[in-house]
Amino acid sequence: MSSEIKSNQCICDALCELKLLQDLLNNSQTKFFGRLLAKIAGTDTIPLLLITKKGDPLSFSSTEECFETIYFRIESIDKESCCTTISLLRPLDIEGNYSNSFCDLVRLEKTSICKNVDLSRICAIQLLETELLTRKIIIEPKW
Amino acid sequence: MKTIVFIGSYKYGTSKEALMIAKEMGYYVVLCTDKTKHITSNSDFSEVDQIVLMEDLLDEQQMVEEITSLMDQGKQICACVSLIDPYVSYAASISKYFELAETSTDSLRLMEDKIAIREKLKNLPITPFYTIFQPEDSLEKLENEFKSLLPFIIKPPISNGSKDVLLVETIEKFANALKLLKKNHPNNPLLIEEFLQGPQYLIEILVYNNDIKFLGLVEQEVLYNGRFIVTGYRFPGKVDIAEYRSLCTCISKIIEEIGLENGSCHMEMKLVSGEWKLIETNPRMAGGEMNRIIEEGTGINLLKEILKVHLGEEPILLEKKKKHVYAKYLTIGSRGKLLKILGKEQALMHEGVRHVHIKPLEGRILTTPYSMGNRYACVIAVSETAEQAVGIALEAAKEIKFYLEPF
Repeated sequence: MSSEIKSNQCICDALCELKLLQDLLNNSQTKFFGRLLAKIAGTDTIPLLLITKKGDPLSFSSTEECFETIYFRIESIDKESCCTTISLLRPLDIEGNYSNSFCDLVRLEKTSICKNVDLSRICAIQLLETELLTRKIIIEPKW
Repeated sequence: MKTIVFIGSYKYGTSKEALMIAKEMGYYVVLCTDKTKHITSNSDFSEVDQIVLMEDLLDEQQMVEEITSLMDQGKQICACVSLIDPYVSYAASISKYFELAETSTDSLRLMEDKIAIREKLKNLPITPFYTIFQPEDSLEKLENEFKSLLPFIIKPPISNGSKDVLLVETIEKFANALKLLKKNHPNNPLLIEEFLQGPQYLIEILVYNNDIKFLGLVEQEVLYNGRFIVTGYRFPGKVDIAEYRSLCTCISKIIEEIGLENGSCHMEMKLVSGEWKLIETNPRMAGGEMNRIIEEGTGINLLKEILKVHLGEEPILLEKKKKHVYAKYLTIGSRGKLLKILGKEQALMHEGVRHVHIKPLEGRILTTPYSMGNRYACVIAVSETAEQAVGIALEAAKEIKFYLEPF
């Protein structure tokens, strides 16, 4: 097996493992504590960046909703073809407005916009804190 | 080198401003502090020429040694001043020791103790009904004695910034309040006094050679959320001529009674059905932005004139202008970690806004107010009428936003 195929397989396996963990967040039901894990996590999403072989984070734009993002949620993986379907996470700044500046990122918001990615383009996965999905910002004082 | 020694200072507000004014007056500024962070973050105190770090600022012997050592180094000590509690009368007594210009030490000390001052002024009509709860008194005894007096205020004899000043409306709350105060102030007597209804005022006073040289009346807006927090200051406070005359008479009487010959203080009073009642006295200028409020309204830099009295010089208190000033202090309604503050620049752009101060740094935990220290921003506006000043300050204050993460 060539090293490139090995590498694609590795990324694919890693994403499968991540998907498994992500599904656990939402679907795990245990005998004594039921859906405690989902409650602790407070989200069904492990946000991630996909780094291309050029070294840049993979980026997608949504023409209908007019935003660009490098933050995704893994939706499904096709191990056969080594492809994945991801949904786009909308990056928001502290005021809850869309911002594609990494420095302004405070929160991520799920969207239903999905894209397919050929994993042969990807060489690394960067996970982010799940807190980005659950963060609540209070604005004070209230008048 | 002409030197003023300051005992203690906060990072902003009146005590900090005094350091700057002393520097502008050309003095070598020495700050005695027990806060090591004042040394490490030296840039916060760039107007201070020399910081003397002491473990206990109230260690009189060490203080005398430190000042003597400054004198040995060739510094000509001209005044020893403190504008923060509990060092005001102590600084005056150090001045006395070194035979510097004297402020009325005993009078200042009296004002530091809320019970002592009540006792001293108990025969004046400005004193509301009060009683003292001794540590050995039983709750049952007081419950029976004071049931009919509810609601009332209970507070420790020595505190500032409205810390632990509690309103008691029911006997159940009385028990809770006592529990809290006994925990925070063990073995201390507590002051119980009638709760007065009426507009509240702060009066800034400067006395020189037995003459009241300055009397500034500031109306306070008080928020009650379990604690009393002043959220707005209007200068000049609005009272009619008869009320103002009556106030001047009351103040003169108090000053005479407590024997303040030289020095400054501020009093908080309420106007109850046309009669002035004393809430409390403090032997120093009020903290926060009080000097700026008065300066914007009158052109008088009161703090500078107070320092002059400490230096033995005659203060000059000539009004250069007459403006209405409103200072709005911002508090918040939920607890959280401060992520970002926006709106200071926009607030400053409102016409008539003279000053915007944001207190906390990003990363700090902010809370709903428990004391005056939990006021996180101040906007000062100036105009020709009180209503305009209030309107401008409120509109500008609405620009300021604290972004918090629940904590």
